[in-house]
Amino acid sequence: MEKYRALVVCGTGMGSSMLLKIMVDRVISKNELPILLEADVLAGANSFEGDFIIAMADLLPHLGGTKKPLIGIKNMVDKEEILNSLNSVLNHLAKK
Amino acid sequence: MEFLMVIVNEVLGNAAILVGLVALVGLLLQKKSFDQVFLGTIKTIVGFLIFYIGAGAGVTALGHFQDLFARGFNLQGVLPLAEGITAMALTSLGTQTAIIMVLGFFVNLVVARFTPFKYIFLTGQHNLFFAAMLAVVLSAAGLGGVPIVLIGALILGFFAGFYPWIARKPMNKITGSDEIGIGHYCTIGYALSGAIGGLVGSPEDSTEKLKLPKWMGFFRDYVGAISLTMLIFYYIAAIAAGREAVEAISGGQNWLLFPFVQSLTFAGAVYVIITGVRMFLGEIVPAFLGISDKLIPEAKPALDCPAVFPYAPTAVIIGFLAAYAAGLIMMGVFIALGTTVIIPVAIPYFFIGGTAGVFGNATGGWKGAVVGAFVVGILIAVGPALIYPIMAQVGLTGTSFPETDFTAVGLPLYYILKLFVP
Repeated sequence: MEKYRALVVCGTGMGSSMLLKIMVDRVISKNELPILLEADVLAGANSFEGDFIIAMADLLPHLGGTKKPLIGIKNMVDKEEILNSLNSVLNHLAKK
Repeated sequence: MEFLMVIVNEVLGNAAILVGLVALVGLLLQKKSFDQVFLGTIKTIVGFLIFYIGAGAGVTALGHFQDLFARGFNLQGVLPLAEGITAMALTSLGTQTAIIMVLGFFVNLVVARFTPFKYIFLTGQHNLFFAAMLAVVLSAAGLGGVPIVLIGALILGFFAGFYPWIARKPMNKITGSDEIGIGHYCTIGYALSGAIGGLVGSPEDSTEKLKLPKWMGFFRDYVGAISLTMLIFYYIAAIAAGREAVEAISGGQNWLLFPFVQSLTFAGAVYVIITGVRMFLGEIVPAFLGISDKLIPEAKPALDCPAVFPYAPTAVIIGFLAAYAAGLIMMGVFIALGTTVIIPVAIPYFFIGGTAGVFGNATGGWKGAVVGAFVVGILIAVGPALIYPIMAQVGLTGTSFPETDFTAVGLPLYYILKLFVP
């Protein structure tokens, strides 16, 4: 099955995006979702060529430069929140 | 015999190779595939080597700034930024720092297992900064290689569990659960901001009822915020020093263009350093988390400060502004006193002041955010001033550690050791 590519971003690209990536990766592998993750700084979202962007929820207003679907996570250790967000973006992408 | 000495001194003594070996062992133990082991090891080493490249470029731009500031004001100007001072420290104390960081993680596991401080500190770059600070302080106090890494690792591991614990009450109030801790070594400031909030206001008057202009969030863009701070203060220093002084060091470049290029070069150097941090931690942090989950499943993760930002994004901006105001006032105080001048750099003020704002808001609404972050803004100006002489003693000049928790450990440690070490 073809995998979707997603980018995890944060302000500096070294702290919270990496932790968020680990947490999202765990949900992906536990539920066998077809998603590959990368991490970058906020500005990296503009040139990202993959399918969607993941960030902490408060960053969404600063992600206006990309037209890709966005996921904002409020609590990065909440597996249910992460799973629900991933499922809804996967449904959205599957309809296209 | 000579071959053996080469292995010990040159190979294991090379910090980049040492961390590469740690990553290699970690990846092999996780039974990763060949390409993952190979890439992970190489990236860890390259990440570490990138620090040196960034440090080299940053030191030059910072040195020129200090020259001009000294000429213009007859005072020493210091721009505290943990990324900068750590990268500089790694060029001379890289091996000690790397060992303290890795051993310190295992001490953190023991602390989380056997004490009430049940936090695993997962903010990799902050553990790296803490390890570098300890290596510098212990070395400045006159200790040698083995005592440095052993004492450093014990201290790092203990405080990695202890610091998130002291801020647990306001942290739980922010997130509405007790699942995570704050993993950012300004915990003393955050706990204080939480306590102050309860005294000055009420959580009902939340910052999140206020509306702020959207553009203010731009300070969270790393390169943008560093560049802006550097441009402003570089131009102030250059104009105060005068055309002649600038052209003496600019190598013929126009004196009004020189500060522009130097400021952005410094921003570029810091960006290089954080790219190195990212590559270096890319394998280390997941490995640490995997180990701690397996051995101590009941421990709680202590996470980097942006983990609390979604709970009160407006408090982040208000906290930054209040803290930065305190930083500017303190700069005036330092100038009036004629001491080393601590210049507020926007990045630490954004992340630390912003987090202090979230903590103050959780207990005291917008009043708590303003007053709590303002007090923390004073602390992160005074702290680097106090610890700067120790840094300068081992040849690290121009920058310092802003984080409250580093000062609180580093200063007493240095002066206690000075009593015992000849």
